[in-house]
Amino acid sequence: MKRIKNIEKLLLHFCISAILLGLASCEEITIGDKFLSQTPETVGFPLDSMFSNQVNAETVLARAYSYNLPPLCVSHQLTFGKTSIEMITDLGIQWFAETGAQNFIYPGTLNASNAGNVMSFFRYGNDFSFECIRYAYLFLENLDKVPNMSAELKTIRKGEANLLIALRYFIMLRDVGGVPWVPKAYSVDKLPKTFPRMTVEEQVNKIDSLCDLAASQLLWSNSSPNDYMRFNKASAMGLKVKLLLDAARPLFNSNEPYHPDGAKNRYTWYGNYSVDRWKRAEAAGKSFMDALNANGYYNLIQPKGNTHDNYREAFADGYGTRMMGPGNTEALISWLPVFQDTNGSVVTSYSPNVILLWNSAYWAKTTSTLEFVNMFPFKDGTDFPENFDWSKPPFNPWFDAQGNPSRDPRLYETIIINGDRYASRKAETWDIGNGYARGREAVAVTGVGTFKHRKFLRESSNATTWNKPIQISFLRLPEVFLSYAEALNEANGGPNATAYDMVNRVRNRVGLPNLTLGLTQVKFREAVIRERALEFYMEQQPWYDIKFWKQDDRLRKRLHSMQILKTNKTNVWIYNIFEPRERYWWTAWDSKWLMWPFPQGEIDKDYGLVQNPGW
Amino acid sequence: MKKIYIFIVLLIMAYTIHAQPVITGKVSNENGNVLAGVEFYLTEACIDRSGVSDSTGNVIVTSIPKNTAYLFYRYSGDQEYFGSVNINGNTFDLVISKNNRVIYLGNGLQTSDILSTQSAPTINRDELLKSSEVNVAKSLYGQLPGLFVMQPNGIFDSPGLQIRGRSTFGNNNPLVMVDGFERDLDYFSIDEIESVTVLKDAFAATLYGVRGANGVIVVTTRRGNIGRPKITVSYNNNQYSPFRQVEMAKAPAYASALNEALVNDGLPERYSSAEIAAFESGDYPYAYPDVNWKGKVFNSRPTSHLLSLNVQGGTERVKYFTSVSYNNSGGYYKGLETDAQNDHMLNNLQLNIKGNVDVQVTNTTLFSVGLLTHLNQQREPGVGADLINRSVYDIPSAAFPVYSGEDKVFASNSFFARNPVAMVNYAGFNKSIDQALFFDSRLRQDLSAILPGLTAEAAISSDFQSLLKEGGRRNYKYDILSAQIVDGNVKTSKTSFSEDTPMDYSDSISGQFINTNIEGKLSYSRSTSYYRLNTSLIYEQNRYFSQGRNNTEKRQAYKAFSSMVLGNKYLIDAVINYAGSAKLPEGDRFRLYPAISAAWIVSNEPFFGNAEGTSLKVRGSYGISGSDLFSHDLYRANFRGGGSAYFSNTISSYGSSQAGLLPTLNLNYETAHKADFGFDLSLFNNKLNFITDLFYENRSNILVPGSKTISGVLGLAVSNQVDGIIKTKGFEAVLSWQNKIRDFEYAISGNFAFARAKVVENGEGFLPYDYLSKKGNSLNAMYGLESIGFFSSDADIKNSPIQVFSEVRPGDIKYKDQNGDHIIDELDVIKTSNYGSIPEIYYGLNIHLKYKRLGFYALLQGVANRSIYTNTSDIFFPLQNNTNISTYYLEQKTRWTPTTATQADVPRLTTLDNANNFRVSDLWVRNASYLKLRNIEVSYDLTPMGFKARFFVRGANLFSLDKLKEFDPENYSIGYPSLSSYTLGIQINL
Repeated sequence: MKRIKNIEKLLLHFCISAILLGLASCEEITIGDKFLSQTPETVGFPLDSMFSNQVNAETVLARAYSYNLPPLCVSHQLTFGKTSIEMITDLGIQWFAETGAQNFIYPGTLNASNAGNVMSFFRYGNDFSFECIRYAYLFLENLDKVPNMSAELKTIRKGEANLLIALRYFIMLRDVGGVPWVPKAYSVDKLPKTFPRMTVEEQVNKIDSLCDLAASQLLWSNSSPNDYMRFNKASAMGLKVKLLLDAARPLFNSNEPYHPDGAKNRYTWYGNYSVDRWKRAEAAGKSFMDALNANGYYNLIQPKGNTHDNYREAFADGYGTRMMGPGNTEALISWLPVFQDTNGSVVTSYSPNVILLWNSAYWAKTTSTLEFVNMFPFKDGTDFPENFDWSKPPFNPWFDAQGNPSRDPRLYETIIINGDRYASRKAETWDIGNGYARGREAVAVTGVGTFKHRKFLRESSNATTWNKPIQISFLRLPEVFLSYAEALNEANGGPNATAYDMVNRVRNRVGLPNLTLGLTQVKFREAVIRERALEFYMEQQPWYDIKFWKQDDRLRKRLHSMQILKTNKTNVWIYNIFEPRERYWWTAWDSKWLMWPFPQGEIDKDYGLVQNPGW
Repeated sequence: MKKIYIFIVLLIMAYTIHAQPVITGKVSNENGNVLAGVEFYLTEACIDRSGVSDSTGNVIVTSIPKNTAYLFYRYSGDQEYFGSVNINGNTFDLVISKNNRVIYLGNGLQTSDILSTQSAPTINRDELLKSSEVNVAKSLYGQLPGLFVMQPNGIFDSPGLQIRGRSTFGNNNPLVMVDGFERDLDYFSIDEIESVTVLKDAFAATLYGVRGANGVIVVTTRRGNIGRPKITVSYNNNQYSPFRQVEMAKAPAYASALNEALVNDGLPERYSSAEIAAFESGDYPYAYPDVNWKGKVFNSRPTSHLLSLNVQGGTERVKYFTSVSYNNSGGYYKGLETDAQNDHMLNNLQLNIKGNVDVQVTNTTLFSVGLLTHLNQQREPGVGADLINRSVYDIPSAAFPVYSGEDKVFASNSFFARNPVAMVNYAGFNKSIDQALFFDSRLRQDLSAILPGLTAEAAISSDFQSLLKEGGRRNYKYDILSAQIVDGNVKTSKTSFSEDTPMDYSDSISGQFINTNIEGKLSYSRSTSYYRLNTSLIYEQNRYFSQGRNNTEKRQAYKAFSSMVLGNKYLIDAVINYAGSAKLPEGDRFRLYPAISAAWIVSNEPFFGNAEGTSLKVRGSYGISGSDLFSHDLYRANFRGGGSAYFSNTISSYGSSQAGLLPTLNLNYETAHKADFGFDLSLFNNKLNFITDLFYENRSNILVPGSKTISGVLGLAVSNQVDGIIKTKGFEAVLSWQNKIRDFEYAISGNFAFARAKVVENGEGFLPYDYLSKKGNSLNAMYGLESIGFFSSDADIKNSPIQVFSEVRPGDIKYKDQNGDHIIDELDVIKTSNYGSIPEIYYGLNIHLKYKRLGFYALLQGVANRSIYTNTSDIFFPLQNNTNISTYYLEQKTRWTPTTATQADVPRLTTLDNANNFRVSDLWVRNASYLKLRNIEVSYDLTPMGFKARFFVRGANLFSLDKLKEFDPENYSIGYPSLSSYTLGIQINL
């Protein structure tokens, strides 16, 4: 019995210590409503506290800037699958079966239903345009609440936000035509039931006035190195030229809709032709040039001498300055190719490996067509013969008798030419002939790598590229020059001296002679569009030139690629010309392809979105 | 003031003086055996004990107030019982039957089978201990009708538990309450468990408010009882072996299959005929090996030891139970030589110590404490068991040998660059140590002094856990081999990579929680000879705080509960629960959940006669409950760090802030309207028992995507909206028969559950074709393309609709163009199966046989109306992306080749990604119903040999009847295999 008593005592002690332990462990005991009202910890801040100081407010604008722009093709913000959009034109070929040309354009399988699935292939709905616009509005609507921030700086930041909205509407306009106008950052319960599309005219005017508003709020250029890539007045005025040029071109500005169904509404064209639209573009070009002359700072990057290498370097620095030194004086709207992984996390390493555009070039997933290569003239400005006999080449197509490059220097900087240099040695893009392994520059994955891209690849050694991403431009100075030239030519029934001067500035920078004087309006137009192709290949200009000039003959043309085989003799090559994969457009073209479809899922939401003609 | 006290004391004395005289009774069970240790109480709360039966079953009850019509009793024998006895006169005879088994409802509320208005199937420790697993959930297969227990895929993981299938798009996990508080069952071991009850009907769900909609599993741990200490020691030794493993192709077969696939892809062959002959001959074990990786890595007989010891006993003042259980399970890997310092072999070690003490502090005060310490240590090789398991299947027998030569350097090749044997033995280790300390206590005070029948109760619990992770990594040297046959001579080359390095070490705390609960209750019970009433007001709050941000959960509830028994025939329970959770915004957190439940014991009606052992009860319930198992902050948008912008000409980034998802409008808890109807029937002197339940549930306010209905112009990802609706219907039935013929006892019990959930609203928005809609279909249904054979030729491809997924070649799967647009894409997806991986039908069958000292037990469990999508790489998607192929696929399946084009049942072999073939289509949907032998036991009672003990031999998971011969239908993966086990065990009672 005593033993049981002892056990009882022991157990009582156990209980008491257990209770003490239990009580000690409840760090805080609150009971009743007070308990539940202490909301559990959360992450982040509500909107109001974002605008309680300048630093937080600026991060909201930074968010709007953080959505990468074309032609930057990085990760989940891909603009055109995993490649540049030029691969659907007569200039390039995508070999690898990946999102973009191979899976949706070449087989003609793109339709309204799958458009939404093709990542952000089409610049509406599930891309980031409306997200960017929302953050810009949030910033504009709340910036005035921020204390201790100078009024001057607030005005500048507002100008940036306005231009971001303009830019996003421009990108949507050129891809899908008029889109709904969103006037503010809506809350989900206040969202109007309907969002009709704007007509082309309405949207052009909205963007135009936003550009003007931004230009009035911004300074011409950014003096502080920390703000180097923020938008400024030059960006706003440059975008205005770009906008008004596309608006004046025949896709929108015509007496005929590009597709019969387009006649029903004005969402994809103006409904008539007016030369005033060209004059408006001309005026925008003139304003820009006047402002440039007055303010300076921006200038084409000029060659350091007059050698082939000097010209190449000037061109390459123009389209892609590596981030070191003072930056690029050609870049009006530019971005750094910052890689984000699929979760949206930023990968802070800057190895070019992470830039898919580069990746696509490196692995030769895309190459150029022979047609594009043939567009490059000789360095004296004469055309490469259209009837060049590749089976018995009368002369070396790339080098003269002394072994010096014989063509437009931009060719060698755009494409890796067999026998040119590559990574401090001779470039070898020939096929060793067993059908499996190829020359060192031609990578096996695609099968054919003869016209492998160098553009944006530049050199590939880690020593020169690590942490030095290429600053890529959405809009750079030569484009404004060529756009102004084009507008002058169309507005005045032919080229004038200023128009020639504008084109020649671009040509002279790479050592090409002036254009022949006395060209007709049509010939001058062709010369400008060709110049734009040579200058802006893989920068998304050529596609929009084809599209806005309705040059569908170029999209229906059979194209060619080339295999180079080595012979026993030094510097004698066999050039095998062949057709790449058949494209649906070659046999079944329909002008509906000049505008992308809206994703069916968005139309099904029934808020008034009307599908584009033919889709 | 003093006068008042004196008055109260006098009042109490007067009360006591007017008490009835002594009542005597005798207690026995159905078999006529007297029962000792049955405790009698004056009120339903069971605090004020007024007598305990002695070893002759006799009990003397004193101090009974006048007009007391009922005494209440509790008894903890082979299982726990609770009930009442009517006292008409000075003596009573009580027979405690199976129908008096206690059912715990939580919040300290208890009822018994006979008094319950609900269906609450319960399993007790004697049944649980038929399993040799340490994991409690693994002993529940097929035991409780309505509880779907599905075997896990992982190594030492717990099974998934679901009550009545799946009835929401969201989280469907049932609430698990252990000793009155929400706790993870994994922290307990079987030896500690007294009973497991499944509460699945409307009434129980309402009692749990915002946590009740998914059903509740109420678990109680063992407690002490009055009597001398009883010590039980048991030991189980388990031997495991894999249950079904697919054989991978031998080297020559693999090499030919790879060649075939490459040719199909238009690529050159990989192996020449001379090389295939070299594999065949086995003459070049290094250059042309044929390695059975499974044999090299998997141990054929892993073992585990389960040892437990418990002591149960008590006096009238203090009752106690304590248990220590230890489990050490070996894993299924073969070690080369053990490195004692850095043990890396797969292993799971668990030590649990549980103590429960109930103290009768005064005659009116009962105090209970429970304490659990838990330690679980898991170990695996450093690269992780998942990768090793996958590699064993992924790496072809022909790829490379284990060692590159006689010097025993590991081999590899450039495609795979991983050697499973090396990964098991030389890649370091991972260790995770899960430690927990759970504490709970409950104080019950009888307040008869204030008002007869009034009791108060307060309880707190606080549980702590932390998960530590340790890891060691090291590199090992390996050679990459390549071989060629040139002019009949084998030429090999090897290049060494990496070096044997010393072990790196790292550790971290990777999980922690503190779970605190407070509960208060005021109860009033009153009984007359005609009715008994028990009413409670309950307050409870719960705070679960765990590592990481936004993980804290807080809940609060105010409940009023009332149960009434009228004339021993009509039972009515009602509850009103005003419950809230911190997941909704302030001011809108609470919801009112009512429920009512009623039963009619038909067999107690005079017209039914007074047949002994025959009973019929009809019952029904209706109630509303909720579920708050969704994330925090859905009702507001918060800004947090976003991607970076780059403004400067250096690469320094400028951080940005992004808003979270847009708020969910009208956020609410999932709301479940449930109704139940059922009856319980016992016939032939309780030999035959039949229980059935019909149920219906309408679950609304389920979060479904809003993005299909709200425009993208909003500019932010649209969050989920509370528009989803699912309706579930089903039934459960239990039929059991037990009998004893002289020395032969037997019992057979079968249970069957059916649940079908139908999608009413899922936020899918407008769809252009009716067949794309999931509305009206079963929630579990699977969707995919409809295959219509294989492309026979290029001409066939040209004449067929375009398939957009990848380039197609002859032998690829041809799909049906459902909408006639000549394009096969996502718009051609149809319902490919009415069923999914969660079955609609779940059933179990228990067989007990006993002849004298020999016992036999078997548990069969099965599911039906279940389909799975066999997308397993290496098995069903063979060879693509450098994977492997199985003998099963080569021999049991007919792959497409030009010659087998007409009989083929799977597409051509390919080495490429082939998004056309390897996507969801009806071709890969398989019927995954099964019937498994979960447990079988033969036991022998050693008691007559001088000590109380039982010796047994068990088998678990020994066979499965199903249509998937190659894999376990519950674990259709190339991961860790399902295991069968054989157990030798002994249980000794001292």
